[in-house]
Amino acid sequence: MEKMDEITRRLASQQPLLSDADALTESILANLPAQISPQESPILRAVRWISSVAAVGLLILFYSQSHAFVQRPEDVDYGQSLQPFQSDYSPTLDNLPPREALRQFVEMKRSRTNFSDIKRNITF
Amino acid sequence: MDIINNDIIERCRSGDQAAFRRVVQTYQQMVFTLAFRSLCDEEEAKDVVQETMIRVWVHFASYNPRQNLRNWIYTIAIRLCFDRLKSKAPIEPLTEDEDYFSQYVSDSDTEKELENHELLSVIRTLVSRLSPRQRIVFTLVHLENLDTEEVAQITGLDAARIKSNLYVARKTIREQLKQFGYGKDG
Repeated sequence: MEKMDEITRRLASQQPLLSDADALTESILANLPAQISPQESPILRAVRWISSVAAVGLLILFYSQSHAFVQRPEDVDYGQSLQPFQSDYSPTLDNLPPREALRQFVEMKRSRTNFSDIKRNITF
Repeated sequence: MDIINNDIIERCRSGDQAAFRRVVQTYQQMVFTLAFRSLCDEEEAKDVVQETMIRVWVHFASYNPRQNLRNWIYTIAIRLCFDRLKSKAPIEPLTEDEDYFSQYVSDSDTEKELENHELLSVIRTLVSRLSPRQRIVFTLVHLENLDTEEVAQITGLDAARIKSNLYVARKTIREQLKQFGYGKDG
Protein backbone atom coordinates (compact mmCIF):
# COMPACT_ATOMS: atom_id res chain seq x y z
CA MET A 1 0.00 0.00 0.00
CA GLU A 2 1.25 3.46 -0.83
CA LYS A 3 2.40 5.45 2.21
CA MET A 4 -0.08 8.22 1.50
CA ASP A 5 -3.00 5.78 1.41
CA GLU A 6 -1.85 4.19 4.63
CA ILE A 7 -1.66 7.59 6.34
CA THR A 8 -5.04 8.75 5.07
CA ARG A 9 -6.65 5.44 6.07
CA ARG A 10 -5.28 5.84 9.59
CA LEU A 11 -6.39 9.45 9.77
CA ALA A 12 -9.86 8.58 8.47
CA SER A 13 -10.29 5.94 11.16
CA GLN A 14 -9.60 8.37 13.98
CA GLN A 15 -12.03 11.12 14.88
CA PRO A 16 -10.97 14.12 16.92
CA LEU A 17 -12.44 14.20 20.38
CA LEU A 18 -15.19 16.74 20.95
CA SER A 19 -14.50 17.22 24.64
CA ASP A 20 -17.44 19.34 25.77
CA ALA A 21 -20.16 18.02 23.49
CA ASP A 22 -23.03 18.58 25.94
CA ALA A 23 -21.98 22.16 26.59
CA LEU A 24 -21.81 22.76 22.85
CA THR A 25 -25.30 21.30 22.37
CA GLU A 26 -26.72 23.51 25.13
CA SER A 27 -24.96 26.55 23.68
CA ILE A 28 -26.45 25.86 20.24
CA LEU A 29 -29.97 25.35 21.62
CA ALA A 30 -29.72 28.48 23.76
CA ASN A 31 -28.90 30.59 20.71
CA LEU A 32 -31.51 29.37 18.25
CA PRO A 33 -33.14 32.23 16.38
CA ALA A 34 -36.61 32.10 14.83
CA GLN A 35 -37.05 29.73 11.90
CA ILE A 36 -37.61 31.11 8.43
CA SER A 37 -40.85 29.92 6.90
CA PRO A 38 -40.50 28.78 3.29
CA GLN A 39 -41.67 31.83 1.43
CA GLU A 40 -41.49 32.61 -2.21
CA SER A 41 -38.34 34.58 -2.89
CA PRO A 42 -38.78 38.31 -3.71
CA ILE A 43 -37.15 37.78 -7.12
CA LEU A 44 -39.61 35.06 -8.07
CA ARG A 45 -42.49 37.23 -6.88
CA ALA A 46 -41.24 40.16 -9.03
CA VAL A 47 -40.80 37.90 -12.08
CA ARG A 48 -44.33 36.56 -11.65
CA TRP A 49 -45.78 40.09 -11.32
CA ILE A 50 -43.89 41.40 -14.38
CA SER A 51 -44.92 38.44 -16.53
CA SER A 52 -48.57 38.93 -15.52
CA VAL A 53 -48.46 42.59 -16.51
CA ALA A 54 -46.74 41.71 -19.79
CA ALA A 55 -49.37 39.07 -20.54
CA VAL A 56 -52.23 41.51 -19.93
CA GLY A 57 -50.46 44.13 -22.08
CA LEU A 58 -50.05 41.65 -24.92
CA LEU A 59 -53.72 40.71 -24.71
CA ILE A 60 -54.77 44.37 -24.90
CA LEU A 61 -52.41 44.95 -27.84
CA PHE A 62 -53.72 41.90 -29.66
CA TYR A 63 -57.34 42.91 -29.05
CA SER A 64 -56.80 46.49 -30.25
CA GLN A 65 -54.85 45.39 -33.33
CA SER A 66 -57.37 42.78 -34.37
CA HIS A 67 -60.18 45.38 -34.15
CA ALA A 68 -58.18 48.00 -36.03
CA PHE A 69 -58.03 45.80 -39.12
CA VAL A 70 -61.75 45.20 -39.27
CA GLN A 71 -62.87 48.02 -41.58
CA ARG A 72 -66.24 49.02 -42.84
CA PRO A 73 -66.67 48.53 -46.63
CA GLU A 74 -66.85 52.27 -47.24
CA ASP A 75 -63.49 52.75 -45.49
CA VAL A 76 -61.65 50.30 -47.68
CA ASP A 77 -58.88 51.91 -49.65
CA TYR A 78 -58.95 50.83 -53.29
CA GLY A 79 -55.52 52.08 -54.10
CA GLN A 80 -56.14 55.81 -54.23
CA SER A 81 -53.92 56.49 -51.25
CA LEU A 82 -51.01 54.75 -52.93
CA GLN A 83 -50.73 57.53 -55.47
CA PRO A 84 -48.14 60.15 -54.60
CA PHE A 85 -49.73 62.90 -52.62
CA GLN A 86 -49.23 66.34 -54.05
CA SER A 87 -50.38 69.16 -51.90
CA ASP A 88 -51.28 72.38 -53.59
CA TYR A 89 -52.24 74.05 -50.32
CA SER A 90 -48.90 74.71 -48.74
CA PRO A 91 -47.05 76.85 -51.35
CA THR A 92 -49.79 79.46 -51.47
CA LEU A 93 -50.89 79.35 -47.85
CA ASP A 94 -47.35 79.62 -46.51
CA ASN A 95 -47.01 83.15 -47.83
CA LEU A 96 -50.27 84.45 -46.31
CA PRO A 97 -50.90 85.86 -42.84
CA PRO A 98 -52.31 83.16 -40.49
CA ARG A 99 -55.91 84.37 -40.42
CA GLU A 100 -56.12 84.67 -44.24
CA ALA A 101 -54.36 81.30 -44.68
CA LEU A 102 -56.91 79.65 -42.41
CA ARG A 103 -59.82 81.19 -44.29
CA GLN A 104 -58.48 80.08 -47.68
CA PHE A 105 -57.72 76.62 -46.37
CA VAL A 106 -61.28 76.18 -45.13
CA GLU A 107 -62.58 77.46 -48.47
CA MET A 108 -60.41 75.06 -50.47
CA LYS A 109 -61.27 72.16 -48.23
CA ARG A 110 -64.97 72.83 -48.63
CA SER A 111 -64.71 73.05 -52.41
CA ARG A 112 -62.63 69.86 -52.75
CA THR A 113 -64.52 67.52 -50.49
CA ASN A 114 -67.83 67.52 -52.26
CA PHE A 115 -69.26 64.21 -53.34
CA SER A 116 -68.90 64.75 -57.09
CA ASP A 117 -65.14 65.23 -56.78
CA ILE A 118 -64.79 61.98 -54.90
CA LYS A 119 -66.98 60.18 -57.39
CA ARG A 120 -64.99 61.53 -60.32
CA ASN A 121 -61.66 60.50 -58.83
CA ILE A 122 -62.62 56.95 -58.01
CA THR A 123 -62.14 54.53 -60.86
CA PHE A 124 -62.95 50.87 -60.63
CA MET B 1 -24.88 7.53 14.79
CA ASP B 2 -28.61 7.62 15.47
CA ILE B 3 -30.96 7.69 12.57
CA ILE B 4 -33.11 10.78 12.50
CA ASN B 5 -36.53 9.58 11.43
CA ASN B 6 -39.21 11.49 9.55
CA ASP B 7 -41.17 12.21 12.73
CA ILE B 8 -38.21 14.10 14.24
CA ILE B 9 -37.64 15.93 10.96
CA GLU B 10 -41.28 17.01 10.78
CA ARG B 11 -41.18 18.17 14.38
CA CYS B 12 -38.03 20.19 13.66
CA ARG B 13 -39.68 21.69 10.61
CA SER B 14 -42.57 22.84 12.77
CA GLY B 15 -40.21 24.47 15.29
CA ASP B 16 -39.85 21.80 18.00
CA GLN B 17 -36.56 22.52 19.79
CA ALA B 18 -36.67 19.26 21.76
CA ALA B 19 -36.64 17.35 18.47
CA PHE B 20 -33.85 19.53 17.19
CA ARG B 21 -31.75 18.60 20.22
CA ARG B 22 -31.68 15.04 18.84
CA VAL B 23 -30.44 16.34 15.48
CA VAL B 24 -27.68 18.37 17.14
CA GLN B 25 -26.60 15.46 19.33
CA THR B 26 -26.56 13.15 16.32
CA TYR B 27 -24.62 15.33 13.91
CA GLN B 28 -22.42 17.68 15.93
CA GLN B 29 -19.53 15.19 16.12
CA MET B 30 -19.73 14.63 12.35
CA VAL B 31 -19.62 18.38 11.63
CA PHE B 32 -16.86 18.90 14.20
CA THR B 33 -14.71 16.19 12.60
CA LEU B 34 -15.23 17.61 9.13
CA ALA B 35 -14.42 21.17 10.22
CA PHE B 36 -11.46 20.02 12.33
CA ARG B 37 -9.94 18.18 9.37
CA SER B 38 -10.70 20.95 6.89
CA LEU B 39 -9.68 23.98 8.93
CA CYS B 40 -6.98 22.43 11.13
CA ASP B 41 -8.21 24.47 14.08
CA GLU B 42 -10.16 23.05 17.03
CA GLU B 43 -11.82 26.27 18.21
CA GLU B 44 -12.76 27.27 14.69
CA ALA B 45 -14.21 23.80 14.18
CA LYS B 46 -16.48 24.34 17.20
CA ASP B 47 -17.58 27.69 15.77
CA VAL B 48 -18.46 25.93 12.52
CA VAL B 49 -20.51 23.34 14.43
CA GLN B 50 -22.49 26.11 16.11
CA GLU B 51 -22.96 28.09 12.93
CA THR B 52 -23.94 25.01 10.93
CA MET B 53 -26.54 23.87 13.46
CA ILE B 54 -28.06 27.32 13.67
CA ARG B 55 -28.35 27.45 9.89
CA VAL B 56 -29.87 23.99 9.84
CA TRP B 57 -32.47 25.12 12.37
CA VAL B 58 -33.24 28.42 10.63
CA HIS B 59 -33.69 26.78 7.23
CA PHE B 60 -35.27 23.53 8.38
CA ALA B 61 -38.64 24.56 7.00
CA SER B 62 -37.15 24.71 3.50
CA TYR B 63 -35.38 21.33 3.85
CA ASN B 64 -36.65 18.76 1.37
CA PRO B 65 -37.29 15.52 3.34
CA ARG B 66 -36.50 13.46 0.23
CA GLN B 67 -32.91 14.71 0.43
CA ASN B 68 -30.47 12.90 2.72
CA LEU B 69 -30.35 14.89 5.99
CA ARG B 70 -26.70 14.00 6.62
CA ASN B 71 -25.69 15.28 3.16
CA TRP B 72 -27.75 18.44 3.64
CA ILE B 73 -25.92 19.17 6.90
CA TYR B 74 -22.62 18.27 5.24
CA THR B 75 -23.39 20.78 2.47
CA ILE B 76 -24.01 23.60 4.93
CA ALA B 77 -20.91 22.74 6.97
CA ILE B 78 -18.60 22.36 4.01
CA ARG B 79 -19.67 25.72 2.57
CA LEU B 80 -18.91 27.41 5.87
CA CYS B 81 -15.52 25.69 5.99
CA PHE B 82 -14.76 26.65 2.40
CA ASP B 83 -15.64 30.31 3.07
CA ARG B 84 -13.38 30.34 6.10
CA LEU B 85 -10.53 28.67 4.20
CA LYS B 86 -10.78 31.22 1.41
CA SER B 87 -10.79 34.18 3.76
CA LYS B 88 -7.91 33.15 5.98
CA ALA B 89 -4.18 33.00 5.26
CA PRO B 90 -2.70 29.68 4.09
CA ILE B 91 -1.96 27.32 6.96
CA GLU B 92 1.73 27.05 7.67
CA PRO B 93 2.88 23.93 9.52
CA LEU B 94 4.52 24.67 12.86
CA THR B 95 7.99 23.38 13.70
CA GLU B 96 6.62 20.78 16.10
CA ASP B 97 4.10 19.66 13.45
CA GLU B 98 6.86 18.12 11.39
CA ASP B 99 8.21 16.25 14.42
CA TYR B 100 4.76 14.81 15.15
CA PHE B 101 4.32 13.98 11.50
CA SER B 102 7.67 12.14 11.28
CA GLN B 103 6.81 10.15 14.40
CA TYR B 104 3.33 9.38 13.10
CA VAL B 105 4.38 8.06 9.70
CA SER B 106 7.25 5.98 11.10
CA ASP B 107 5.22 4.56 14.00
CA SER B 108 4.58 0.86 13.58
CA ASP B 109 1.54 0.99 15.88
CA THR B 110 -1.06 2.04 13.34
CA GLU B 111 -3.94 1.77 15.83
CA LYS B 112 -2.45 4.31 18.24
CA GLU B 113 -4.96 6.97 19.25
CA LEU B 114 -3.70 10.52 18.92
CA GLU B 115 -4.55 13.56 20.98
CA ASN B 116 -6.36 16.33 19.12
CA HIS B 117 -3.26 18.51 18.89
CA GLU B 118 -1.20 15.61 17.51
CA LEU B 119 -3.88 14.82 14.99
CA LEU B 120 -3.97 18.47 13.98
CA SER B 121 -0.20 18.51 13.49
CA VAL B 122 -0.32 15.50 11.19
CA ILE B 123 -3.23 16.81 9.09
CA ARG B 124 -1.75 20.31 8.95
CA THR B 125 1.56 18.99 7.65
CA LEU B 126 -0.18 16.76 5.14
CA VAL B 127 -2.56 19.33 3.61
CA SER B 128 -0.68 22.61 4.12
CA ARG B 129 0.26 22.93 0.43
CA LEU B 130 -3.25 22.32 -0.89
CA SER B 131 -5.58 25.03 -2.10
CA PRO B 132 -8.91 25.42 -0.20
CA ARG B 133 -10.82 23.51 -2.89
CA GLN B 134 -8.24 20.69 -3.09
CA ARG B 135 -8.26 20.42 0.67
CA ILE B 136 -12.06 20.20 0.83
CA VAL B 137 -12.20 17.54 -1.89
CA PHE B 138 -9.31 15.58 -0.34
CA THR B 139 -10.93 15.71 3.11
CA LEU B 140 -14.32 14.56 1.83
CA VAL B 141 -12.95 11.73 -0.31
CA HIS B 142 -10.03 10.40 1.72
CA LEU B 143 -10.80 11.36 5.31
CA GLU B 144 -14.61 11.33 5.32
CA ASN B 145 -14.73 8.39 2.87
CA LEU B 146 -17.49 9.85 0.68
CA ASP B 147 -17.86 8.73 -2.92
CA THR B 148 -17.56 11.08 -5.89
CA GLU B 149 -21.31 11.31 -6.35
CA GLU B 150 -21.85 12.43 -2.76
CA VAL B 151 -18.96 14.90 -2.99
CA ALA B 152 -20.49 16.31 -6.17
CA GLN B 153 -23.84 16.70 -4.44
CA ILE B 154 -22.30 18.35 -1.37
CA THR B 155 -19.80 20.66 -3.05
CA GLY B 156 -21.68 21.43 -6.27
CA LEU B 157 -18.57 20.48 -8.29
CA ASP B 158 -18.89 18.13 -11.24
CA ALA B 159 -17.13 14.75 -11.29
CA ALA B 160 -14.34 15.94 -13.62
CA ARG B 161 -13.41 18.84 -11.33
CA ILE B 162 -13.50 16.61 -8.28
CA LYS B 163 -11.13 14.16 -9.97
CA SER B 164 -8.75 16.88 -11.16
CA ASN B 165 -8.65 18.50 -7.70
CA LEU B 166 -8.08 15.13 -6.12
CA TYR B 167 -5.33 14.28 -8.58
CA VAL B 168 -3.43 17.49 -7.84
CA ALA B 169 -3.99 17.06 -4.10
CA ARG B 170 -2.62 13.51 -4.11
CA LYS B 171 0.34 14.55 -6.23
CA THR B 172 1.16 17.42 -3.87
CA ILE B 173 0.90 15.21 -0.79
CA ARG B 174 3.05 12.54 -2.44
CA GLU B 175 5.75 15.17 -3.08
CA GLN B 176 5.38 16.33 0.52
CA LEU B 177 5.95 12.78 1.73
CA LYS B 178 9.01 12.42 -0.49
CA GLN B 179 10.53 15.34 1.37
CA PHE B 180 10.09 13.36 4.57
CA GLY B 181 11.83 10.42 2.99
CA TYR B 182 8.79 8.39 2.10
CA GLY B 183 8.59 7.42 -1.55
CA LYS B 184 5.83 5.48 -3.26
CA ASP B 185 6.78 2.23 -1.55
CA GLY B 186 7.07 3.84 1.84
